[in-house]
Amino acid sequence: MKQYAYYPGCSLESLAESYNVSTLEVARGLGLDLKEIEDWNCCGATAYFPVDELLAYTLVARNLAIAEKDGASDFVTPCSACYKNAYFTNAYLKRDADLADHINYALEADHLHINGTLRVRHLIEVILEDVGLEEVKKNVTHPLKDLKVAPYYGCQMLRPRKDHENVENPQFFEQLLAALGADPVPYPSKTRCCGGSLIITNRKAALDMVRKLLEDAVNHKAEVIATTCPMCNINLEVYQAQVNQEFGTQFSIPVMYFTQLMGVAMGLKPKSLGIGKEMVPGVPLLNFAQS
Amino acid sequence: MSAQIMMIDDDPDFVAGIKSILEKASYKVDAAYNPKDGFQSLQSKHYDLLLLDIMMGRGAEGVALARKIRKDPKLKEMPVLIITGLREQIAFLFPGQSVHPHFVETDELVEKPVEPKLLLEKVGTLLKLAEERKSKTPVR
Amino acid sequence: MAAELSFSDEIANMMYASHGNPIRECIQCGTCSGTCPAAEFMDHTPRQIIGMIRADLKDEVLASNTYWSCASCYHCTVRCPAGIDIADMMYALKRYSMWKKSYQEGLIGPAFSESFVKMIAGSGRSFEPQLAPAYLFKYGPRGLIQEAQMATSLVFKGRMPLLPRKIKGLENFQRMVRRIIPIGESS
Repeated sequence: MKQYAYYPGCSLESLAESYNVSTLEVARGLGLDLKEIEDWNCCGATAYFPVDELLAYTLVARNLAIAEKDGASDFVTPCSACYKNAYFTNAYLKRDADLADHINYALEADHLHINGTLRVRHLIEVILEDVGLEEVKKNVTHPLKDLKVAPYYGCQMLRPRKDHENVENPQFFEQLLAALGADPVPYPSKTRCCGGSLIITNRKAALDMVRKLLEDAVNHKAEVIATTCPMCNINLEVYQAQVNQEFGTQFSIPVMYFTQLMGVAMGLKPKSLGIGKEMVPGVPLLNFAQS
Repeated sequence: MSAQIMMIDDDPDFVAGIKSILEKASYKVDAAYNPKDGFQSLQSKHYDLLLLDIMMGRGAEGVALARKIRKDPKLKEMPVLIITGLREQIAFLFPGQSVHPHFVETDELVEKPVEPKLLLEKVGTLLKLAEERKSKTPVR
Repeated sequence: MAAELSFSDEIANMMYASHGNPIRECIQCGTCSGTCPAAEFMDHTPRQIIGMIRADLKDEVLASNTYWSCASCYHCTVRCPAGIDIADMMYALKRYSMWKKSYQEGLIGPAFSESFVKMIAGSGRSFEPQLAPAYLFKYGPRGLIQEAQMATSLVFKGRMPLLPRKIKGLENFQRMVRRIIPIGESS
């Protein structure tokens, strides 16, 4: 069986722990062998690039090198920001021999070396390509019949463009939700940014960006927003109350990880999926859960 | 014949200042403002000495460039003098600690701002070193 | 003596390794500004900033909050018809302003980046509460109360760890960092 080097990233150890547990539960259910990378470090998020990009690549390369050493062929992460960093570091190191030489010089200090043999992938990509929609459907025991879900892709999973993929109007998330029996609603804002770290550095701007995303989901009759990234989830979910305070709105729309939706549809216990820790309770989803 | 000096530094004001000091002392100085252009110049023409900045472009590029030069058969004998404002630029990272000159086999390291007298002294010493290296290197 | 370099040349040099086209190829179409979800909170739109760089308005560009308001979502980058990596340009401006300590006063972005990098270099892992001092005092009384309320409910829900984590191989990790940034003990 293929072994995936699993990189949860820092958010999945704290604010987004539910994403971690639901990922592991769903992977187990689908027969995916995720092995957490030993002693991984933070990927640097977006905060390293304003200081030193070479250092940013080094941090990411350390995690990739540990996965390579462990004999993995694929590096998989559920965090879109970690994914973007890992994907491009891997790609740039393969393309630029001088950069690879310099990063390897730094990695030597930690007895590591990177060859660029890994395939870097987002969790949703592994589920869609390696497991496949047919197999996912077979595992659905509690279809999310007619549950109206806004598929929120966010930014870093799609951008910058990796290849010739459709970054303007992707459909794969809708397809996955439909396979769970849910009803993905049209969501024009699905690839707009949630504000990312602006939630800390420019709160006003980020709250406004979150407001527009919530508004668009509600206007299209979504009962739940599904996410593929801890940052998106935190901004839309944890800060929903602040949006309401700031703009006098009354939003109360649950924001759940796509793995939580999958888990419920697969008949897994909500608690084992980290459901119950939301600031906005996931009631519409719980209606489908195994009792 | 006066010595040929190459300077790679992204700060145009600093380059202009150093250039005028060195030119008054009758050295010939060329400048490049990013590591890529700099390396291309080094390959296209012989230089007796390189003055190299650290923080450029993506980050601490000078370190990577110095290592590359040391591995290049044609360039490895060329003395390298690092002139850096690294501590000023990202002082917060390791507060109170010094820049270490022996991170790579570079010949000398001075921190910005640099006194003209010290600069000329270092340049003189390193050019002498270049001469010594040249006489020691067997003709291949 | 060679002519001094213009500000636009300096930024081009900062971006020498960019995977996009040089900003001189900008056609000022404004697709970036129309796309940017943060544009209305910027002193100048991305299109304006590019125009200002090309006009060498160094002081005005550096004093603008624009580049520190970029969330790095790359929406402008994938849409730019001239193939310029605009988000990468914003990063280049952030670095330029960090290295020269020349940015608009009162911005949280530079302090946040600084604390984040320091935190990772120190422990290898990120831990949200450790970052708070970098920005909390800039939020004002109302913001502080909101922040405290939110933190309390997160702790109550079991979502906020109370202790920071550290990687095990920290010593080697820091030696690795110092091979890139040559400050402190060498190895």
